[in-house]
Amino acid sequence: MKERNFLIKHSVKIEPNKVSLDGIDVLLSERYNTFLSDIYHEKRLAYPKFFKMDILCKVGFLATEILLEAENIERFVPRRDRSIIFCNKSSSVSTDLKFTHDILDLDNFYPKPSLFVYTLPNIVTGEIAIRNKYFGETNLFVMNDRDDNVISELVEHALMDEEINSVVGGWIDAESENDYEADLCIFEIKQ
Amino acid sequence: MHDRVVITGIGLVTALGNNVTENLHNLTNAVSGIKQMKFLVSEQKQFPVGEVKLSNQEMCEILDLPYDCHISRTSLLGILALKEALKDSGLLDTKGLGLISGTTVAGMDITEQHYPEPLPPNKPPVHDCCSNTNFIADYFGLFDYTSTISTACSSALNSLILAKMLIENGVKYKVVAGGTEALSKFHLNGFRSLMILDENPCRPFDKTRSGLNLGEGAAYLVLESESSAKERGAKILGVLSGTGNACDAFHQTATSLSGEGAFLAMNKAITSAGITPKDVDYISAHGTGTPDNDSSESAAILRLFGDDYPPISSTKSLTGHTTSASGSIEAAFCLLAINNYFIPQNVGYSAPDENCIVPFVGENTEDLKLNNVMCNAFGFGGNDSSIIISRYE
Repeated sequence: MKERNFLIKHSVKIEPNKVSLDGIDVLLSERYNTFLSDIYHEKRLAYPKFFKMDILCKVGFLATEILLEAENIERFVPRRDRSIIFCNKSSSVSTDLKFTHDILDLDNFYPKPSLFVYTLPNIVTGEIAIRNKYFGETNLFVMNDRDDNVISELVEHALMDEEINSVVGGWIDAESENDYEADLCIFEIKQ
Repeated sequence: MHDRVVITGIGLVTALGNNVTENLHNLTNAVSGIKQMKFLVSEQKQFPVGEVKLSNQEMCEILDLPYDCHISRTSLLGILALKEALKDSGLLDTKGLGLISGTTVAGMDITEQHYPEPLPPNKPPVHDCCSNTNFIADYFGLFDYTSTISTACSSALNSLILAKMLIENGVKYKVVAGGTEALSKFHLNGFRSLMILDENPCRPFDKTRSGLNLGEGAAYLVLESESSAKERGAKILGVLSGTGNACDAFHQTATSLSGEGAFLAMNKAITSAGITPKDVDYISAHGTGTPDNDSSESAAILRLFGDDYPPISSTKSLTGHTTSASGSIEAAFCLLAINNYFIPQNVGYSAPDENCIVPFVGENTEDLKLNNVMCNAFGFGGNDSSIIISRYE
């Protein structure tokens, strides 16, 4: 494996019914709703916008909350030295299909703005930037299949920007409400 | 010092024309391609659109492809533009090229025809963004690296930025980058639901502006290292000298009032080009014609350039907002402006707005020479990009 010019500070994984931080499972004390809502309540996140988000954004939001909490530095301070680089394969297809459904029934035609907003895959990078006040580069690349080498190269490219010292990045995909995956890290440039 | 990244080919398909020559003609004469919809099947006829003036069947005939209603219009537009770009740079027979394509709509135009039935079996999947890129690449059989960027309206400009990085890092020597986007019911209705479509021709930066007109099209630029271009004796059309991408961190779709992301992106582009705001001779604005975009872009421009800003225009009142393809289409326009000594007109402007810059509507002067041109593209999700294209000397 090629030596990279970054270090991985923390990593988080979310799959249906499984969440882990730095390789250690995060256990939920109570289960009474969908798995993602349970994580939200377990973490006592007071961010009601979460409930309006589509599946891709929910997964991205929760994964980065867990990841950034682990970093244990002051949060929500505006910063320009951090960028967000995500890759996925399903773009925003789960929401695209819902939106299409809403505009095809001529007797019940109503394109909902709240749904249309999420028919773009890069909205997840925007949601995380808004929450954390990150003003650095944000990008989402779509690939046929997960390729960690390409992801690492994209992270390295982002770190070549002299203003950028760290990247929240990795793989995030949501094919449907029940089939999602986040595997994200905080990458920091090697000094 | 880095080997510079130069541009050696352009391919363009928009509402202004099916190739570079037609686009240049209508761009210099300020003839708008925004009309009542003809090819898009929609009941929303009240919204004028910037359609490419070819049917899918006509494009298949031009490209010698079997007419198959499962080939996305996005792919067809992309292949047309890419073919012209490769021809223009003399690379139609060169293998080992990279292709970076920006799109968001991709094959939605096909998928929505079938909904709610599943796509018929034995047809290649065309919906998702990267299969669209790969379909385009496979038509030529020249590409051993493809990548797809989906960051809404900044997608195609981000493709150019990634291409520059790949070349500067020695990953590839020659990369074709840009974007392609076709109109679909899906995104026409989406923009309508956001209440940002105008039933009249759009009027960027005008006091009476009340929304955008959607458009479609594709543009690809051939980028390579200066040494590679010189070695093979390619004609050099310009230098991609600076790039910047930053985030608004404000709202999923709206831009912040101060245009923070736009300001950061433009500032980065200028800094990385090693120039100052005074050296910028023309700004091709994102200028969609929505009340929010134009005032926030103006605020960012005034903050960076002061009251003494260079000529600025938006070409979206000619082509419509070509969303994910707009970045490379307008970068191509910038190259045409540099090489043909003109500034595109900001068509549709008549009433000044105190919250906006005053765009270029004047006559081009004989001695006009553009050395550094800025091109902006801002996307939903707070993704703002800006590049500097410089005259090659």
